[in-house]
Amino acid sequence: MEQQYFRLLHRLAVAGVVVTIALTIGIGGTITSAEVGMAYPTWPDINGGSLFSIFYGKLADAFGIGSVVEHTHRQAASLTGLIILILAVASWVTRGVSKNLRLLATGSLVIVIAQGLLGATRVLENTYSGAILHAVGAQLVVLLLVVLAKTTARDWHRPLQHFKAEHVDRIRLWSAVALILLFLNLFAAASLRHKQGAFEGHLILAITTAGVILYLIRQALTTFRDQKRMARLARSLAHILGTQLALGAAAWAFMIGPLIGTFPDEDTRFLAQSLIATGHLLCGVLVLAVTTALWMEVRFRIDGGGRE
Amino acid sequence: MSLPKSDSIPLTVVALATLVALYFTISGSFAGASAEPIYNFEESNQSELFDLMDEEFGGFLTPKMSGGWALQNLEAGRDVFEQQCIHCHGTDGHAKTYTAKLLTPAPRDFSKGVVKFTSTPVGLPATRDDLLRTIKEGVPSTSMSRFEGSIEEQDLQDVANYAMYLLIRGAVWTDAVALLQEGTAAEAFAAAISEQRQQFDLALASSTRPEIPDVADSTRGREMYFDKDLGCLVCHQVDASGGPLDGFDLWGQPMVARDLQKGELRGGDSPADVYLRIRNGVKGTPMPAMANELTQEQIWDLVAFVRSVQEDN
Repeated sequence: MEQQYFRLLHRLAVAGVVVTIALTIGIGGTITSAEVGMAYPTWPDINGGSLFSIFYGKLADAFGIGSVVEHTHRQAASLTGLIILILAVASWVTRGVSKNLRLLATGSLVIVIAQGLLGATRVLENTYSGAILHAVGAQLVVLLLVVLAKTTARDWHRPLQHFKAEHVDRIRLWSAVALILLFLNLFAAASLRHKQGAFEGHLILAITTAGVILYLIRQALTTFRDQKRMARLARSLAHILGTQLALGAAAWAFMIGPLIGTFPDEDTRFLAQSLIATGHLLCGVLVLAVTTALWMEVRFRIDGGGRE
Repeated sequence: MSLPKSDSIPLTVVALATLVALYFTISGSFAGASAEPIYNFEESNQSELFDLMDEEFGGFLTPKMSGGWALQNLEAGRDVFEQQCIHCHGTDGHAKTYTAKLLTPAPRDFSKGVVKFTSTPVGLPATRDDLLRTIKEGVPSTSMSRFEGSIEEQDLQDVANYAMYLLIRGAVWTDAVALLQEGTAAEAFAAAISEQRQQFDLALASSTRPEIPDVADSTRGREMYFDKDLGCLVCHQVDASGGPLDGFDLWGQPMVARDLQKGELRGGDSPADVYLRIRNGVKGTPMPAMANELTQEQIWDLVAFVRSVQEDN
């Protein structure tokens, strides 16, 4: 994956990560939390209105606020798609870009198009299985964008760091395991959010994944204690994971646990539950993004042939 | 990369936990957190009436019906309702959920015992098959999407039964509350049950899907559309573009006369659907039933005109 530094590609990839997490997934998560996924049962337009319409007030009057939330999700998703399209085209027209990077950018474009079509299928076929796959597909887009952002970064080509082989192998192994578990857990969480999977599945995977990531963080902090960049990544992961566990506990307590009846009225209950559930989802995406970055570092930037 | 030997045991534990979790996710069913709705009745006899309702119909989470209503698998239907419908229509079918507030038009509130699009004459309730049709085909241009093909046929049948249960329950409640002023809760309840059973049977007996005739004349239909005595123009306008109307429908929602140019009629666009809307009206709204004003042939002519307006636009 050796590359020169391509500023435009890197900036596009970073913009893609930000837009996808903050807008596309943020609004998409709100849709599931508010259960308004079918507020807008046509695709790509709404009853003759354009996908690019910005007359949100008019839309709200005609079809309700739920349709505006769904509409803005589709617009944000289009922006993600546009960024990846430009990135893929730029990777082919820019001289010196490696074949691997071009293939990665093109693969990301294919995935994001498939993800858009999956969203359409979810709406047009009105299926929960489509909704679950669409939710997991969004995380795959984030993962690919993080990989693109890492491999196009300026410091990606700094000399390799050398660490003891056994430690590096262990961190490589457990970061890969963590990534697989995160995806499986996202599948379990999406199944739960769409009322298709049992809570126990998400709970067991959440505990297992948290355990693996905590172990990974400990290993990374011990092995890379003198390496600021890696230590910073590991600490960031620890903070996000802590927040995520707290949000998970709150989601359980306020949505299906003992605190479900503590809200003064229905509006407050709905708002609080939606915020907690969407926050939990977004934090989960951040855990995935930082774990991906950590995995990228130990997989490609750390050499296990050195001495401790 | 070689696998560190000391990691093989934790890796096995993680793999086993993952398998167990996936088993729960794939084979386990979602256990929702719905609770029976709580009502605070202002009058004590309404509370007494609600107890009688509970005795006859069970709770919303534990539905039951004594003989005569011919609705099966209510528990199974409730489970499907919990998964697919509850976020809009609510546990009790009153459509007072937060999601419902975010949607226009609002999801149907079953507590009035009335739905808009039926195959039954004016004054009679919907049949279970009317509800099944709406569930299967959805309501165009609204958030009520089609469920045919997205859930199993048996689930469609069961959830139609449960929706019918909610509708009957709502109709009995509405009737009984109105009758409370004339007698005790027990008397009002008995009278309401008797009335609704009768209506239910009449609806079943009178429900028809029309045969589409070979010939219908849209020109004659056009003349009827512009006939001031029939009143189509009052709401649907000269250019058939419809528009907002004054007042509110039975459920308290703002009313809009359908834009016939655009089509996407909520009760369905097929000739038979349009025929039924003209013959039976749209219940709970000012769209009147024309069964007594027009002959079958005249209604078909009007259907031909409505469809020609759509085709021309």
